[in-house]
Amino acid sequence: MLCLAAFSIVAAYVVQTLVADARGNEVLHDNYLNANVALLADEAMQLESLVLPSAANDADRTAADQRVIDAFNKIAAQTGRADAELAKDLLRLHAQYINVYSGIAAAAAAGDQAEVIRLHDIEDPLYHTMRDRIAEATEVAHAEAKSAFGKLDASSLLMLTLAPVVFAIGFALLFGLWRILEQADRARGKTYREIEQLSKLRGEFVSTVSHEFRTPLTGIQGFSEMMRDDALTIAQMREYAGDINKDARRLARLISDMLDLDRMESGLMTVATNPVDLNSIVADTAAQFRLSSVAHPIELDLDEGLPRLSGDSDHFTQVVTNLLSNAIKYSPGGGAVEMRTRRDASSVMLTVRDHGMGIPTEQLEKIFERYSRIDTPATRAIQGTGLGLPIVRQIVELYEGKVWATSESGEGSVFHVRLPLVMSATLVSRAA
Amino acid sequence: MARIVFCEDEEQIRKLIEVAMRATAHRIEMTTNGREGLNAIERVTPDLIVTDLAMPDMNGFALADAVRARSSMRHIPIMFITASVQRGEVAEFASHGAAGYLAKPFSPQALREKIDALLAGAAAVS
Repeated sequence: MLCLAAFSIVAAYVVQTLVADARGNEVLHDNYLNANVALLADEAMQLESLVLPSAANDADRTAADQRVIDAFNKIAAQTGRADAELAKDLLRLHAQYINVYSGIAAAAAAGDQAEVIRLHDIEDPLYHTMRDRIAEATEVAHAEAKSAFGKLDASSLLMLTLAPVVFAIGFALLFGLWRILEQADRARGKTYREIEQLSKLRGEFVSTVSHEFRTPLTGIQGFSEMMRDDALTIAQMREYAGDINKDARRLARLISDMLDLDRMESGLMTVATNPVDLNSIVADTAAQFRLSSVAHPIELDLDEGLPRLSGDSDHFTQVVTNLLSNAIKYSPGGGAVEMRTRRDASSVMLTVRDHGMGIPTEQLEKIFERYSRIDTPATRAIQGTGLGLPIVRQIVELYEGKVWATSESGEGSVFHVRLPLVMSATLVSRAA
Repeated sequence: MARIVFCEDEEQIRKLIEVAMRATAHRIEMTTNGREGLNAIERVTPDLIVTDLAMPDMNGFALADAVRARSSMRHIPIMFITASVQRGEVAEFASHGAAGYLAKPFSPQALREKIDALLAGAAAVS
């Protein structure tokens, strides 16, 4: 576009200068060249306002149209010559040309590609007829004022040679611009879809969390109402108070999980450097779960020579608890859960193996992301906030360890935790 | 006196329902998932089915669909208990043939009243 505009401006300047130098009887030739330039500029403006429709471009295009008409009228003013007749023809052709272009613009706006092509096939010969007839007349005028137009001839020839090249370059630039706009639009669409996906995940999370809150709230509301309204014995009162307490604790745990994760993700959780015996944490957690999970025998294979880790025992307890609770939760059909500790040269390994539904390969990483639970008919019925594994990962990574899962479909899952024996200097300094 | 089959996977809520229903004359059959619930329904042909929605193995909707697929049980009214009543869900309940629903958290009194209303409605129809 810039190329076309620059070409038009330069051409107009050259023509103006040369014609000013020429003698008075070269006015006609001047007029023809002006008409030629105006037509080039008009074509450029038609294209520009087609590709970039705007009020400003429309105004420019109307002005360019008017310049062509003015130029033709100037030629028409040469009364008594054949050029006056030619100018009338040109004015008629130009009126048709403008009409066809508004048709193209309307078809382009309506997205009717076939109509655009059809009209373009009408527009192109019109334009070229005008160009050809002007060129022809220019040659005649030139022959009549040969001596004066020596210089102008060379320049106009150069311009005529350059015009298609400039036009091609301009068109290539336009095409490039169109591609860039199209790609930008595609990128915008992608971002929009990502945001939509995120908001869907959030919506699911809110609905899961609300479900998780409502279940213990039902117990709290129900048992407390019975304590208020029913004639109960002291023993029943105590029992229901115990039930309310259990549900209240469940709510509290849920809230603290959510807050923990928020704190961890904001980098606000601090490491500790107390000696921690991972074996005893595993054994204690297993003992707790055995009371409530009869269908899932918990087998331990603990490395007696396991060195103590440095950290916060609450953090490691949460890791073991979440992994064990996960293993049980996602083995609705029962089955043994094995927890194993081992040491190697520089780290301690903890593995938790279940014989549950397993995890599809493509989900092995995703399950550690916040809000993401595997959504299948089998898991939909299992209640969870989707916070357990993200918490595990946050804690393990806080202690510069790694956690990952492996699974063979239908064979259950294995969660692996590797914790380094020696804290890095930066971590120690953060703990202090 | 009516026979009612309950399906609920949450232990605490099962207990709450059992305690709440003690104050009524109804005979209740408590189950922990849809599959157990369906067995119980086949066995006792209850006057009312009350089921949770989110349950392992077979959820409330699947249970309702299975019940409605059997001509001998199709007439039994079903009530859903759900922890998340959102817009559009009520229509979904109806499409699975729900006669009523109760949102968690619910009060024991509301549970009893809803059950009595559904039983009275079913009696009026038959």
